[in-house]
Amino acid sequence: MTRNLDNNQQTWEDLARAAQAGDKAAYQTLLREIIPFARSVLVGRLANPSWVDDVVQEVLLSTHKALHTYDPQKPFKPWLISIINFRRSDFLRAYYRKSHKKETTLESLDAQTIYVTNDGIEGEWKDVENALDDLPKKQKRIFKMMKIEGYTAKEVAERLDMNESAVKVSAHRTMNKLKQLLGAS
Amino acid sequence: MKKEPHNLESLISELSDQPPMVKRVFKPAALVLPWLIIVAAYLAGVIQFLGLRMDIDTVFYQPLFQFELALLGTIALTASYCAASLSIPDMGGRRWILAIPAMLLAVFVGLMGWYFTGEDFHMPVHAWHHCFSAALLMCFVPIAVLLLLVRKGNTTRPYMMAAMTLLSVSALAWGGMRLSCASGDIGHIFFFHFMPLIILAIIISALARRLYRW
Repeated sequence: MTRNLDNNQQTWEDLARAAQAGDKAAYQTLLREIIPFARSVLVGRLANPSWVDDVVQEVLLSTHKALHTYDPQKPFKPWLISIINFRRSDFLRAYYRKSHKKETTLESLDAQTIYVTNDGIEGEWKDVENALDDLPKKQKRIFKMMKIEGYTAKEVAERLDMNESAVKVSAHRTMNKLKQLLGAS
Repeated sequence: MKKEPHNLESLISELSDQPPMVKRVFKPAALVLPWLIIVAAYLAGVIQFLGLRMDIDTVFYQPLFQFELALLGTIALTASYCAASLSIPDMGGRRWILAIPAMLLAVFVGLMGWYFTGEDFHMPVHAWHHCFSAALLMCFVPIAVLLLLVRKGNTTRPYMMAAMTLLSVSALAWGGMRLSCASGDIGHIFFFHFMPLIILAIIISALARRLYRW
């Protein structure tokens, strides 16, 4: 079901009012219509798209618990957005509290899959990978270690038995080359 | 409510089977009013129990003292209203009201600074004074009742809620102490009037998320 934004707000207020009066159908419609909106708010604010539905689920439960605090005389959307942001913060807090307890070595860092790759930017990431493939093997290795895996220039130099400033120069040149290949201004 | 991961459709069916019947929409004023009545009665009882300060007949008619009490009362009222408003997820679109108790607090801090300018700080000779327990006693019921009342709502800003609850209760306790203790010594006021409120603030802040979890 698609509605334009202005109609949506008016409709949600009516639906919420009806839901508060015990109208099951209106409540079901309201909850169903909240989902795409909550997803659209959350998708750009969570690094991993698979988290979105977890938070949406919390948002639905919270809407259920807090519906008595909604005043039908006021807009519904700000009320809902406050709940969405609150549940998102809660989710991230719980996630990072757990993740800090896990030991991760730099070699096994899954930053690319968790923090970088995202459905919305998968194409861009592939372009970067393709551009990197066009570079000489050593240059590519240095760039990946420094810019993706998070090693310092000193650590890379030690691992590859190179001079530190040579490593920095190589990474800098690779960055310029990638900008050129990917058409960045 | 039991939830299954990512099964949003069944969750909707489950929730819509039992729509929350709302007889009366949550109103902050309706929450603050019973609190004020309970607290006014309680504080009157506590002050009666502790006894009014000896020089009450003199100080009560001093304009500055009256101004201080009026200021504390207004801080308590506005901060408790803010705490109640914070029980609504978006505060009903009136976030600006948080500025009112904050500004009044700034005036109060300025007033206290002016009071104590030029006064010497003396370390209290006693490790314990009945004023310490009196300050805690004045906070105990007001904070417990306010915590219970605001839990009827659903806050999305638990720390701000804790701050407003504390500000409200501290203003009342401070006012109560001014009516029952005649000491003007900074050391005494700091350690036995102000310190209990700081301890309470630390405890409530540490527990804010748990207290207002929903």
